[in-house]
Amino acid sequence: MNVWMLGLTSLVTDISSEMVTSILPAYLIFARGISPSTFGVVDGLYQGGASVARLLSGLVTDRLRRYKEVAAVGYFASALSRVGLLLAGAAPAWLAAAVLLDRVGKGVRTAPRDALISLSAPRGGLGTAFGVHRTLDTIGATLGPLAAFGILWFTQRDYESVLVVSVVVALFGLAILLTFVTNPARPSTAAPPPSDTAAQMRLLENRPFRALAACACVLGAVTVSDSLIYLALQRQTGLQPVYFPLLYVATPAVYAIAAGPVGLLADRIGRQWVLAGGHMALALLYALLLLPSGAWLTGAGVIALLGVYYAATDGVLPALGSVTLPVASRATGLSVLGTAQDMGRLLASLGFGWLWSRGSVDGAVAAYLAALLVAVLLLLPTLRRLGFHTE
Amino acid sequence: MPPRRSPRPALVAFVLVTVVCVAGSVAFLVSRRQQAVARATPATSTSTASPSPRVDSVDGHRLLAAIRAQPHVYYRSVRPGEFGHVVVAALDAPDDRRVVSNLVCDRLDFGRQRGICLVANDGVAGPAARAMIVDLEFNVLAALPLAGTPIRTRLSPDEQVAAATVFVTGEHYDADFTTRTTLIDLRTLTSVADLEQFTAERDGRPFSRIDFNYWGVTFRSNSQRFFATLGYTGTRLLVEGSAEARALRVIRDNVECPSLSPDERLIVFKSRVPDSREWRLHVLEPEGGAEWAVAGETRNIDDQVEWLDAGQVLYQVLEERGLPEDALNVWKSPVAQGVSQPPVRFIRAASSPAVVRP
Repeated sequence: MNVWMLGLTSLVTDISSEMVTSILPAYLIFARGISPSTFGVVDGLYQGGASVARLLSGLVTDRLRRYKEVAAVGYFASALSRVGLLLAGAAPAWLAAAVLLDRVGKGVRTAPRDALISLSAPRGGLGTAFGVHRTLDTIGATLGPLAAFGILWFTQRDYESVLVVSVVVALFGLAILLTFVTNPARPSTAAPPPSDTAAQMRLLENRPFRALAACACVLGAVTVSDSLIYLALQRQTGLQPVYFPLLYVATPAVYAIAAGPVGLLADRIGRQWVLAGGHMALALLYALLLLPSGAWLTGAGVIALLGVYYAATDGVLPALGSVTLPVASRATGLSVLGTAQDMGRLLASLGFGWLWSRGSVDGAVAAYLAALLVAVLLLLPTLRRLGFHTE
Repeated sequence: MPPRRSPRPALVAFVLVTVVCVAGSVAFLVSRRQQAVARATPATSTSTASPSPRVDSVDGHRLLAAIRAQPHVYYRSVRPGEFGHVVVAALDAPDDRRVVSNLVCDRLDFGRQRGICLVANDGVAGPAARAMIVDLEFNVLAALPLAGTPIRTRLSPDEQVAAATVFVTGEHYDADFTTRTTLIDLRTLTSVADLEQFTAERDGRPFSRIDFNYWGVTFRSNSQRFFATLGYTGTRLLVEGSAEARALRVIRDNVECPSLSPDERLIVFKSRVPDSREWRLHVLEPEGGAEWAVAGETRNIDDQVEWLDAGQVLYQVLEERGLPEDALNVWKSPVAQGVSQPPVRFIRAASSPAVVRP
């Protein structure tokens, strides 16, 4: 119940946020008249803000043990940010503040939400629980742009309508969270809660968790971002840029469909093996980019493999993390895990761009294919040990 | 899982919130639609909001023919009541002798026979922006999907080729933004090339980076050749391109949004002020390489200029505050070397000017 309701909250919230994301450039540039380069600066902020907020929110959540409430603050901040966009006019500083507030809200809600999912499912069903949540979440992200286009069509292109409705939708998501999601019951035996600082310290001494965080970072460092994969696909096959938006829709669709079954599989055969398998799908994708056989075939392969990769990693990693983490440091641990993965991925994109600029697309892809295979091979014993720890 | 207390009050509150959300949203959207429909209804001649005739009225059609017999200018109006509509106006009275078309564009360029009109996605064609090729009656001859938010467009002087640049989000590397530029063949009404697929060379050597972006094409009179901006992290270069050879050559540093004068003697472009996010208008002689700043215009200018005549350019300026109807105007400035004359507001509540001389 909790997992489904958290999934529904995410679905509704993602409709709201993707509604805004899909119209924001056009709204700011054409309805408000700001210059494209100013928009570039504002849009850049979308990237950085979330990480710090996520780590802090993890710490606060574990200290208070109020998962639902901390998550609610994050959801509310994002709703508020859209009011900010409506009121900001063309002043870049205010626009930037509104965009930053949205990112901070997203950072704040991630850790308590994932911790709550993990606390609401039986140990043996964690993969499935995260899979269900990610499916619902991704469906919302797909519906958002459609809702925005529907509103633009209906109101004869009134961008403010999209923003106003997105605020309402975001508040509705918050209402679902507040009404139907419950915090886990605290152990009724009045044992004194363990000292929080001590719990955080133990996080660093927790060997399985440390190993998993290292795995997440290393595997992240061989994972090239979607946009670079699509760019490589275009260079390798000459795919017309017009089809780019299609890639951004089709990949989440595969992800949404696969996330549930893959989560179930993870609970059956061991989450660590599904994580490894997901990275093998990524390796296949890199190989496909090296042997292009026509834009459509390669494109379809890239979409399918990337969708499967996300299904096998995005929910499976926190599921795996949850079993290595005691309840007292669950939210903190999951936020550290996510940040480790993000740091790895940032490194991957920088390295890939560097190789591409100094050599060729082929060279960069081949190097990452080799690095990915070596990384998975080297991490297999670690992943196997993680499996023992988390049985 | 049995709840510990009766969920009823919370549930009732939730149902209420849901009903209010849904009903409120629907009511709001319907009222906004009605407002939009009211705005789109042609205003009567007594209305002060939009005193100019519409192109589909008898008066409008007659005025349009008269305007087109003389030098005229197309532009995107941001006046209330005609926001986003293409306006055709006499060059000697662009705020007064004008006709409002039913075509809505975000960026446009027009020639003697045809025009190109870029529209950000507006829900009409689903999730796509589009480039529309239109004739002089504003009929859409073709609509091509675009992969992002439109920012620049140009028609070649012989009206054979057009270029459209869009701004793509969600595709960041470590550059500040990503663009895509497409060349459209107006004879076949198809998109023929993406500039990123052309080969680029610098100092005679091939030159390639992952974060290459092209924008701001300006055509020579031979439409197969053009100038454009090649940008990547921290660098902006002027390139000259050939559509036949599918090749580009780097010519100069720190040049953005070039605009070639009709006689091809000068290029006006925006030049980044070091260590800032501002640009000033500069002028370049492509033959010879002399460069100077447009002395009279000292504001931050972010536009690809349009040539009014051999010595003056038009461009949009957004004032710091206010709604576009008050703050977004087209200005005029002389560009000759040694001339320091303050710019003059040329069209109010407008952007994307396109000058046509019959």
